[in-house]
Amino acid sequence: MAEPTLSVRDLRVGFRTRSSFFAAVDGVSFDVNPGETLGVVGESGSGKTISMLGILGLLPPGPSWTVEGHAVLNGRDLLTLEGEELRKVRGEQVSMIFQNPTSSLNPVFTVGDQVREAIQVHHPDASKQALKDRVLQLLDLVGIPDPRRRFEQYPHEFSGGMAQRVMIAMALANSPSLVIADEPTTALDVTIQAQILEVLRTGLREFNTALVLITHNLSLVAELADRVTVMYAGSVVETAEVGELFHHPRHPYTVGLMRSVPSLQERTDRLAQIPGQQPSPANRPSGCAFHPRCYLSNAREACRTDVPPLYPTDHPAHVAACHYWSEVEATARA
Amino acid sequence: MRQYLLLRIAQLIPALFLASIAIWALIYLLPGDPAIAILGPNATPQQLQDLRAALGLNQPAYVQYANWLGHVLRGDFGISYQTGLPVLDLIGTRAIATVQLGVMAFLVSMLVGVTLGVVAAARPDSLAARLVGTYNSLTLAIPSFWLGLLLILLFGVWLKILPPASGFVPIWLDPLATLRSTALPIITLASYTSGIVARFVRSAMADVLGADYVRTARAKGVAERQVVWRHALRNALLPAVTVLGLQFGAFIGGAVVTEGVFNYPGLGTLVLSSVTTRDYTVLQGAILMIVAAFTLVNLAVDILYALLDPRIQYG
Repeated sequence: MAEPTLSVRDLRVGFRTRSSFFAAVDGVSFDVNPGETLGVVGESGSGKTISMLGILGLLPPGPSWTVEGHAVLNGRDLLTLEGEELRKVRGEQVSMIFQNPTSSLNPVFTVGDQVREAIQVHHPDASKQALKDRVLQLLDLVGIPDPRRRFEQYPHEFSGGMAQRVMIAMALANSPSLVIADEPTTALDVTIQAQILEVLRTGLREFNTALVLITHNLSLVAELADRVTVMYAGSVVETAEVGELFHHPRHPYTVGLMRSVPSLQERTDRLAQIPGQQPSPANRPSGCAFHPRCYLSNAREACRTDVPPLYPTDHPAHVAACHYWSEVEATARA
Repeated sequence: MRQYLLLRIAQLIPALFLASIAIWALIYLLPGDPAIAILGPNATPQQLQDLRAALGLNQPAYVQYANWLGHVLRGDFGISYQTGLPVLDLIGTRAIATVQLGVMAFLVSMLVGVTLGVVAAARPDSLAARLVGTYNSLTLAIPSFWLGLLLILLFGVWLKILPPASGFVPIWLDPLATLRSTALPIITLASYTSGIVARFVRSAMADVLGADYVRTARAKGVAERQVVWRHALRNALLPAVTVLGLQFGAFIGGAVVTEGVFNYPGLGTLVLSSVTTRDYTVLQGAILMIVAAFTLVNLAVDILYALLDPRIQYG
């Protein structure tokens, strides 16, 4: 088995306020293998975005952040890199695509200029013509019609879907080993979503690039991912291959997530939901963070006092952070 | 774009027209009789009456205004009551002197203000940022005439390295001499605005540095220095340009105080002296010039803004 492209262990990301310390991400571990797509699923606030930003050193300015743990990309721990070394990795070995494509592009520079910059910062000796050719090639790859004209246009002249294609072009520009896509289609029309995903899929295949797909949309994950990691309140609660996860979930939260997706087949008056709310980093419950909302827990002691580790389950490569994971299958069918 | 330009230039006309009425009326309403001012307190009533008739001061207000406007449009700003010289000539050299001072002060305040603003925004918790904050407070609080006097005292009298009074030396003739003679008024004029610009740029930059597209630039691997000075600043300057434009107009007008302190032969001192001597024609001409300059600068700022921001579409 080849080395994972990205290997994250015990990642902790927190910020300090005047009085206390909040851990937004509390001990997250996962692997991404070469060429595979890992879906990272969770509610807003589960820490999925912050984990990735923390790994790349892109946390928003303002709070004083601390990032601990290990994030080994192609043999180097990104969390030990600083300044110039980290800069070289970003955009070249690992790229990131964000949720809001129109605001993610600089309004005062042309689109062509911005894509070219993505290549130029890592290939400073390349000729202007070579760079332009490469940009046109990339724009074509992501399905932007009339790339020559579009090269000279500004971001405000692009629709959301077009802008996201540009972002994908920028992300793939230097054939990275890994692309992290944070809710890439959430801000787009449903009809455009499918197109964008196809563009992404084509691009990744072209360069055999691994993908971390962050989303709260389970159907996206079912469609694109090879493996899935489910996050809750800053921790990983379950990881498995995609088919295995959907057919044999082993964590009550995952079950709850799947149940809350409305079905086209059944009529219903109310949408199913998991009662309660995800705890904020300031109010994490003792023991298992999910236990106050858990249908399986029944306030059993282990749930209340012991933080569950990721238990290996009956299926290979399927782990779940639930003391009673073996009971989950049975009850899920109920 | 062309349509927009033509439209804006066309809008200048009613604006200047209204301004001319206001200027003329304001001065007309000022207490004080130009005839007395010219002939002195010992003039006889007959002499005064004759002079008033000669100057057309007995005609109804609107007639006087119409006459004045008619002349102005032909480039004839009249004759100075005091010196007998054509007003336009008098204003001419003074205007150049003030514009030169204004432009240099503008450049200095922009350079200083933008640099300080960027530094403070890029490192919000550093000593540099705190110093910039102090600089802002000081420049806003210190009155320009006091600063001017202090600079004269320090550099002109105690250290004797710069001349205490400033003369006008056209910069194209002798740049070094120009700098020597106008360094102090430039600093005085620039200080207040540099504080405003620094504060404005700082807050605009702080906003921009948290923007999504700045995050994208970092994610691409762009060096932090480029992120700040190229990606962020270009966007932060957009609102700052508008502020700068307004301030430039203030340079021309507000130079009155600074020029007075340094006895600099510009429009400011001209306005001051013509007020004291009741030289109405000169006063009207000078103020009309200042208003016209202000409106033109505003137009230039709007155009500049449209050029800098590709999102703006006119017409």
